[in-house]
Amino acid sequence: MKRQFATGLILALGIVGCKVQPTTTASGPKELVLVDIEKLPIEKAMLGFAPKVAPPVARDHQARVVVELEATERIGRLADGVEYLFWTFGDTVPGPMIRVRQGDYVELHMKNHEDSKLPHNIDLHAVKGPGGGAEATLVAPGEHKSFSFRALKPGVYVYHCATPPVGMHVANGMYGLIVVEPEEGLAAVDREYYVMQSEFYTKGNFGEPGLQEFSADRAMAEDPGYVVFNGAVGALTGDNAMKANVGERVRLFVGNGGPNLVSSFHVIGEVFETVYHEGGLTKNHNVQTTLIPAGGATMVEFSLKVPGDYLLVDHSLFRAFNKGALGMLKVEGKENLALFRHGAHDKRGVEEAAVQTADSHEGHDETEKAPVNAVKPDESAAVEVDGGKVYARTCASCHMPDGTGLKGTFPALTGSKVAMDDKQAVQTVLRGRRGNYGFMPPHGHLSDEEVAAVLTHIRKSFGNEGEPVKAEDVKALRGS
Amino acid sequence: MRTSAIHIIATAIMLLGLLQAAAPEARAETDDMVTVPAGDFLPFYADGNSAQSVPAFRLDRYPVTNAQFLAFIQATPRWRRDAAPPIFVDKGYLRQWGSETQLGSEAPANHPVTRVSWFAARAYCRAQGKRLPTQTEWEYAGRWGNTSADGLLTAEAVERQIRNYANGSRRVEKDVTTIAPDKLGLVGMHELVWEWVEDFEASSVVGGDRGKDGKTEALFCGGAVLAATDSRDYAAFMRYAFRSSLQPTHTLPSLGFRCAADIQ
Repeated sequence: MKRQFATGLILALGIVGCKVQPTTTASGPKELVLVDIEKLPIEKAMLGFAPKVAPPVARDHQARVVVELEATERIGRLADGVEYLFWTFGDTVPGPMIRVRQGDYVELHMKNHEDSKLPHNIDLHAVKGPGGGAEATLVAPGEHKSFSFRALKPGVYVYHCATPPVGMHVANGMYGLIVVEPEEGLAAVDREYYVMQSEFYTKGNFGEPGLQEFSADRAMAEDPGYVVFNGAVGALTGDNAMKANVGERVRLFVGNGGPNLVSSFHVIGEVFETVYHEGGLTKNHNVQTTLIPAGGATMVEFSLKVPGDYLLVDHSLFRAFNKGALGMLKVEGKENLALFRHGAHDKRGVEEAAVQTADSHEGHDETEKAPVNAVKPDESAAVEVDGGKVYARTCASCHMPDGTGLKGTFPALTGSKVAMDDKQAVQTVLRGRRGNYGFMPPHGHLSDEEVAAVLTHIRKSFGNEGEPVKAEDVKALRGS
Repeated sequence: MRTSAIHIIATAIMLLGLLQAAAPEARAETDDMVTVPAGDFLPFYADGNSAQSVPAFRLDRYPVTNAQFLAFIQATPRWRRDAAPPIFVDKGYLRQWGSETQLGSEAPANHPVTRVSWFAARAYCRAQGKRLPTQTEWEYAGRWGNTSADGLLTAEAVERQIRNYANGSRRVEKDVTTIAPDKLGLVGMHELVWEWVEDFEASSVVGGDRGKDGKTEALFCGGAVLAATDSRDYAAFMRYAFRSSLQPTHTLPSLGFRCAADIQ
C-alpha cells in the first residue's frame, strides 16, 4: 500500500550514501545549542516507506524540516483473501518514517484526505510539548493543519493518531516512527530497515476471509485476530523479505504500534550485538530477545556471518505462528563452515560434510534440494475453496510460499510423506503434530472444505503429484 | 484554532443577522418532525457525572435532503454556491451539485444534502422557522432511539453505529426514505451522514475556552477516557471527536444536518 507523495523530492543538498561519522559516546551528552529558527535552512523531509528507511541525515547543521503527512481511510490487504479498512498516515501501514537531526525545527503539516469519514491528528513521541501535537493537528476530512516543534532529544520514537477513540485509530493502522539522530549522527552500517509490529482486532479469527470489521469487543479484551509486521501478513516474507549479504552490518529500526501488546522481538538465528534500549541511546550488547512496549521502539544492530533465512518473530510465539508476526531477512553469501554447519565437524572432508546436510524430518530428504514450484491446477471439481489462498495465509509463513520449509525448523512439503498419507495429512492439519523438528499447532478452525482444498493444493504443488483430498474425508476424520 | 473559530462565528453571525432580517416565519410541518419526549440525559462528556434534564422538543424525521435544500436556495438565492460569502462557506460548498441551481447525478433529490457549512445549515433551519438541535438534544434523541427496553445503549447498537461511521470513503448518502426509523421514528441518525449541531463548538469539553479551564487535553489520549461517562461507547467518542475537528465554514462530503424546533 504505497503512494509515496514524497517521491521525486530531491534535496538540494544531495544525499549520497550513508552517514559515516562514528557515534561518540565517551564524551557524554553535549549541550545542545539551538540556532535561531529564522536562520535555519528549510528543507523538505524525505520519508521512508517500510521496510525502507528514510535516508540518514546528511547534514552537520540544524535545519527547518518540513514534513507532510496525509491521513487516509482505505481498504487494503491484511492477509491473502482478507481485507481491512485501514486508517493510515501516508496511505501506508505503518506510516512513513520521518528522520531528522537533533536540534532540527520540524514543521509538521497534517492533511486529512477529503474522502475520510473521520477526523485525525498526530501525536509524536519525539515532541516535548503538550499532546505531542495532537490538539494542534486535529483535522477534519479535506482539511489541513500544522504545528512545529524542536527535536530536542535523539532517539527512535513512535508517532500515532490520538483522536478519540484513540485505541481504535491506532488499531486501524495509524502509527509510524520518527528517528531523531544525535548531532554526531548514527554509526555507519551497511543496511537499515524499518519494521513496525502491530495488531489488528478483526471480528473474524485469523484467516477468516473477506472484508473484516474492527471489533471493539476484541480490542478491549486485547484479543487480536492478527499480530503482524508492517501492516499485513506476509509484508516481510516471500518476495517481500528483506535482503542483506554476509559480512554486512544491519540496523533495524523496530517500532511497536500496539495498540495493546508488548512485543518480544527476536530474530531467529541472530544475536543482537547492540540494542538501543527502548529506542534511547543506552546500549546493551549480545541480546537475544528485546522487549518493545506498545507505543515504543528500539534500534538493533547485528553483523551477518552466515548465509540463510533469518526469521523475525514476536517470540510470544503463538502470535508469530498463528497470527502473522513473521518477517524474514534473506542473507546471501559464502558459507562459513568454521562458524556454522549442518552436522558434525568431520576433519576428513569439510566440503563434503557441508553438502551432506544431516537433518532429516518426516523423510523427505531426497527431494528437499530440488523444489519444483510449478503449481498444477486442481482437478477435483468438489473443491471450491481456493487452496492456494488458504496455503498462503495459513501455511506459507512456516512451510514457505514454495513449500520448501526452513531446514531444521519447518519441514519441507515437497515429497512429504505426511502430506501424501490421507489420514496423517488431515490429522496433522486438524490436530497439529509433534516431530523431531518441533511442534506444528492445530488448525481445527479451518473448515472441512478449507482443509481439503489446502491439502489438495499441497499435493499438486511444489513438485508433488498426489490425489485430491475430499471434504467428506476431512469431516469423517474430524469426528473420529 | 478555537479562538479563531469563535471570531469567525461572531463576525459572521452579525452579518447573518443583516442577511436574515426578513427571515420567513414559516410553520414547521408536524408530519416531518418527531416529538422527542422530555427526560434526563447524562451527556457523554459531563461535568461531575450529573444528568441534565432535556425538555421535550421536535426534531426533523429525516436529514435535510438535496431537494429540500434546492428549494431553499431557489427561495433564497444569496445562499447559492456562487453567491454565498466565503466567510460563511468554504470552497467545497455544494460542490457535488450539477450547477448553482441543479442537483445533477451526484446529488439525488432524496439523499441527504452534504457539503453545507454550519452557517448554511442554520440559515436553512431558520428559513423553515426552525433551528439546529443542540448537541445535547441531538445526542439525547440519537440515544433514545437506540436503547434497549431498560434504557441502556446496547453494545449491538454501538457496534452498528461504529460500522456506519467507520466506513471509510464508501459512499454513505442514501435515499432517506429507504432507511428504517428508530424507536422514536427518527430516520438515519446514525446511518447516513454526520449532522451539524448548534453548539458543536461549545460543548463542555471541546468548547472555546479550552486551555483556560484545564480541559485542553481532555479530548486526547487518556484525557478523553477520563472525562467520558461511558468509556465503552466508541461511537460517541467518534461523534464528539468529529465535531471538535470542525470549523463553522467547513463543507464536508459526509456532513449534513436536520433541524429542530421548540414545542410551543
